[in-house]
Amino acid sequence: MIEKFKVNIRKLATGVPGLDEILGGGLPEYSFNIIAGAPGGGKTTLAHQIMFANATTERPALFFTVLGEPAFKMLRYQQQYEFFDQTKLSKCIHFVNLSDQVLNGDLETVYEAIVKEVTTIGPSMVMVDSFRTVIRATKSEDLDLQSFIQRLALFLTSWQATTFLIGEYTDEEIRNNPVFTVADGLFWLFQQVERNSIVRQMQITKLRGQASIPGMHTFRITNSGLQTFPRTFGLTGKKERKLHHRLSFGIPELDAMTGGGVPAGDSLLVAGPSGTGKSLIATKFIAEGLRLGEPGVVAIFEERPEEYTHRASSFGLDWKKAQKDGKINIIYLRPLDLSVDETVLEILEAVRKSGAKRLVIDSLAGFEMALAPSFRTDFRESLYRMMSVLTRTGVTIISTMEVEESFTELQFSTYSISFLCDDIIRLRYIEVDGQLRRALFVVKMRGGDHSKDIREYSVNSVKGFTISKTRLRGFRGLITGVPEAVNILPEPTQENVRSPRKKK
Amino acid sequence: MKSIPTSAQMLAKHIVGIQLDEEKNSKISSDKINLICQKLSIPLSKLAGSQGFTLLLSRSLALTKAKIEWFESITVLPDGTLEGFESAALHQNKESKELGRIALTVELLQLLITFIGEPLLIVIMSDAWPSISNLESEKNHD
Repeated sequence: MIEKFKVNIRKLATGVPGLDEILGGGLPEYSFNIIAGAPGGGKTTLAHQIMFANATTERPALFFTVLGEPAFKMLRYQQQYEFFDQTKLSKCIHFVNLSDQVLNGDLETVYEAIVKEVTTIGPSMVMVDSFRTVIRATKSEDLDLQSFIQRLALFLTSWQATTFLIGEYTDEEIRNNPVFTVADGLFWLFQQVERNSIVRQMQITKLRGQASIPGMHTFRITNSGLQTFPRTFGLTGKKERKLHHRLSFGIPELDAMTGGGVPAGDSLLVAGPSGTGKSLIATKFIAEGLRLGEPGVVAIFEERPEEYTHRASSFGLDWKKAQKDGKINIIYLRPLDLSVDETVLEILEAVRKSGAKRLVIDSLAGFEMALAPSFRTDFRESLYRMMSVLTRTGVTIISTMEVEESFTELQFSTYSISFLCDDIIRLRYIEVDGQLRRALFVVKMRGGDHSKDIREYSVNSVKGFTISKTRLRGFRGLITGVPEAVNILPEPTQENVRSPRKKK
Repeated sequence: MKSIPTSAQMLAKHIVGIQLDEEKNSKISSDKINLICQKLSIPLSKLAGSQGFTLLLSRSLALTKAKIEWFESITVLPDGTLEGFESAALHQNKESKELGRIALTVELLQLLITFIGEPLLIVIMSDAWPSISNLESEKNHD
């Protein structure tokens, strides 16, 4: 069909952060929707939030309450939310109770009561809470029920109302309940209690006329109401930016080993056991950005911001002032019931607000611990999404990852996430001459060539992070952590490399 | 010591006063307390159902009975009206009767304020008594 002949479906803003994006741009006007889920899932709050966002004197909303939560209690609780604007009551929002009709009559009585109120008020938005109670209480035959739903949908659409029927439905009811067939949109709200965490998720299983984002989206209920965290993080349709410069670590030898620093827009992983200086590399990276006037964001999950700032100061870095000036934003996330999406959104917001060029995630292990248990099971997939979303903004990321030190094998990371990162630097302990020393090497740099050296380094408060200028020689099996001494071969020079050719 | 009137007391006095004025103007004696209940029942039944209103009125009456002895024989009918007010008030003087009306109205309004808060109550009541909104703005100016 030619584009100009298509009807333009107006999309209404839901007033729920993130939900418009999940819906593919907003709520289709005049749609007939269902908000379904178990008790306590946030159905009524979602409906109220959408209603308060849309109701005006010219375009009023009509909220039918039925059996279930008494209207007074509903108002008592709902007015605690910031979106509950009392000035909208009476003129923009009308509450009507249908309990008497539901208890005393059949579906026809309920239908007539709805028709009467809708024709009197002329609402642009209609909500029935709980619609399921209407159906249960009237005990109608299947055919009557189908007819009632069909007529109701037709009537409300004809009267140009965007409708929400709210009900405590379960997944199994989808097949047999005609209301799901008639509905244009189906919003499912889920909540799971896992140990001490509550995980809330939303899925738009049906939405006629426009493409919603598939899958489960986490949401949180706070004093402001619902906030959803779309899996696309507000980046739908945005293209990846190609950057070609490199960002210095602030450690000259490491810059040299990586071929000039981290390629801008890359995600680099620093992996190593506890105490090897992973956080220090990350700190130096941010500090170097500050020196060059590049704002940075540090997402920490283990240490508190004060401790992190204090540790930076022990290496001569004044982060307190930088924080005050808004050049560094330290985000501390550790509520133990986070979702990956929520975390990423918070980091993204900080990156956007400060225009950060550098981002540190310290550490991925701490991040995993901060998540609700169910999100830990697909942590690898979540990390993949997180990295790809964050790097699309153009920010350059250094993540740290603690790995268990093994003296027989070399791990790059515990989650087999190496493939998610563009670049990897591995730190490890080695035993040499009865001493526990530290060595580092660059495992991969997707953006180009890098040093193949295994170099010894030291960490101290005076010199900071110091890498030896030459590789560790005279050992075999350095990456096992227990090297053996071998005869030192002469360094390859131009002379001895070319000599075989000369013989020819 | 003179106690400061609560919002519910101010509102109750105001609406009882309006009903008395209406009666003076119309010169027809009416069941004032039931008129007040009837006026309140319209928006409240719409909001909470007629059963919801009847239950709120029953609770208010119970609270009033605990304070005013002669209210004992008054009851709430299933349709949300009061029965027995006039006969119970037969031996009361004019001032006691008015205090009784105000007391019951105060309890009902206080109950509503407890549940939904004063601003929302004002919105609900202003359909029946539009001057309530002015009373509220005067209070805010003070």
